[in-house]
Amino acid sequence: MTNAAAGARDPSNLEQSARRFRRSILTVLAVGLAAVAVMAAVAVWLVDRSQDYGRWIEHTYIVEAHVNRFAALTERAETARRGYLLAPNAKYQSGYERVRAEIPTALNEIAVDTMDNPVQRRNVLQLRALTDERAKLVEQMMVLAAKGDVDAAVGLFKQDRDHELLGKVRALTQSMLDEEGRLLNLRVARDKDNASLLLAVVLIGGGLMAILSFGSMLLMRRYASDLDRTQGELRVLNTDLEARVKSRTSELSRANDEIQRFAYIVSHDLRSPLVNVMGFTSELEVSLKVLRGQIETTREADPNRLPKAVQEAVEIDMPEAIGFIRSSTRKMDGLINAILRLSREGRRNLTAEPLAMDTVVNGLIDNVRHRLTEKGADAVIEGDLPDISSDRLAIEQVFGNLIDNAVKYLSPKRPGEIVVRGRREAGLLIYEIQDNGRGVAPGDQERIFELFRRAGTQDQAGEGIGLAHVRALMYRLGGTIRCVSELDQGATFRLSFPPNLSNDAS
Amino acid sequence: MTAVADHKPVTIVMIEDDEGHARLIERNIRRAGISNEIRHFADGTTALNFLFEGAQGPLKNGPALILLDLNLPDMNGVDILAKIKAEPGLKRTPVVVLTTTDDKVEIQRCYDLGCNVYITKPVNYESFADAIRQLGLFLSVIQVPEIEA
Repeated sequence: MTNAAAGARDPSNLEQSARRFRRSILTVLAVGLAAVAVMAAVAVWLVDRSQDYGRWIEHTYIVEAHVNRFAALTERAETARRGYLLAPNAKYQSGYERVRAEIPTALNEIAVDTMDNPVQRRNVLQLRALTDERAKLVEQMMVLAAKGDVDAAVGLFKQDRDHELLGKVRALTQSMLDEEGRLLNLRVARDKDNASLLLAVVLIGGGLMAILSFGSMLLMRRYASDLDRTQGELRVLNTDLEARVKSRTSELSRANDEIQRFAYIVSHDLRSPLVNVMGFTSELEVSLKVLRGQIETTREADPNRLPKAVQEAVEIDMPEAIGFIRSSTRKMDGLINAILRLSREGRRNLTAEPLAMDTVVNGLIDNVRHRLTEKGADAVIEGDLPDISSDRLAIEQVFGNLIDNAVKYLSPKRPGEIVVRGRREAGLLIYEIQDNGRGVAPGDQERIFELFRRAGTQDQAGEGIGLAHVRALMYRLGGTIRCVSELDQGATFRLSFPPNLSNDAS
Repeated sequence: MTAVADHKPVTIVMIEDDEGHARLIERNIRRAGISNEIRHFADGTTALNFLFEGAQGPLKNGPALILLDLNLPDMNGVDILAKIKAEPGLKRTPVVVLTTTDDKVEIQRCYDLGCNVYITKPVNYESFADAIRQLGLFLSVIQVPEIEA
């Protein structure tokens, strides 16, 4: 019993473990997916930011380059101007003009570059103003020099204003470069921070993934080992169960054999003393006959010499006693024969053969046709009976007994009708034998199948063997029998068979 | 006609554990007018001993008829039947099986083993008495084979 209880607990354990596993694996997967999604979003955002930062850094370099170019152009223009002032020839003039033309372009480039920066924008405006002012000054100088008035030109050159302007341009350029340098430092630092953040996110994400996969692996391994263990237990239980079924079956068949043998031995051994009782009763009868002869002779000789008591004992009491002994032994013999027949029926080998049930039942009805006519009753097969594969003799005995009973217990109150019908239902063959006879009270419906038990008014001959025999046969055929009835409302006996007689039924 | 000396009287060997049955059988045999000697054994061992070893037994001395009950306390009557029919000196001795069994399989087995007559002891005593009387008639006409010396 403990084994069975353990067996009942284990499968539910497995189920529980499976449920737990499903829940945890789902949680792990959901958490993992969410983490990966967040991580991916953060990483994308960081990469995007990094690109942005890169662009800004590049932009800073470009601005620096442009500022440097502007500074270089300014210096080159200054050099060309000084050269021209020292030796006013066309070479220096054209050199100056060339450089001079490039300066506004360079300044425009810087202006475009620094649109975003108010500080630089202001610087550019200032620078433009200074450059323009200086350009005008230099223009004057160049014109004077071209006219040959070198002294006036040099005079202009020597003016503080020119020098001041140049110094301001140089300082402004430097401050712009400084500003860009500051921005560059800032941006590079920001980019570095961003890169470390990205690295951190990727590392954390990777770690999280590793933890999650490790966790799910652990879960899976635990579940798999749970599964293995329970499967092993199930296998053991299964084998155990088979062995148990086998041993129970053999116990049962042993018990059955025992009962059969017991019934057989009992009926034989009971018969033996009965032979004596009957035999010596006959011997008594023989002796009694001698006595009666003697009494007859005595009476003929002298009736008065015979005491009345002797005459009564010999002629009335003794024959009566012998009569009772005889009827009792006869009855007992009948009962013993019934037990013997049941035990023999239990030992007979059943052999299945296909039976055309319409033919079989019609034959059985023909057997009772004479009695049916006598009672003014009729028996019919309703529809077609499904055919069965079973032991012919057993089937004939079952149906014969039931039809016989139906005829026997018809009610005198109404014309008898017996109907036999059959159908297939859920893989079973169901047959019904229905009558409109006196019926069986609900309380007696189980009792009538017991040996030597009968029900209702005892006005019909019988020993209470037929239905017991039928039920024993039905069990052996692997089927069941049930009685559905109300008292005085007729009875229906329902037989249900497996479609084929199984081999282990015997 | 053979010499009178060759006709030894047939001894009836009755192997029957139930005293009542034995008495009834004996009475009916007598009632049928058979006066042969009846030797009664209540168990298989002493019966076999007499049949095979007894100085007056059928193997050593004279013809016999065996009435055999199958239900014996110490052994199965069928085994006794088999032993009798396996012994060359005894196998021609008629054996009448008397038992309460009317089981077809057992009857068949007895005939297969060489039983000559099988009589079921019925509770209906008249038919039983009849059967015994018939057996008496059968005894009176039976040709008991001579024992070869």
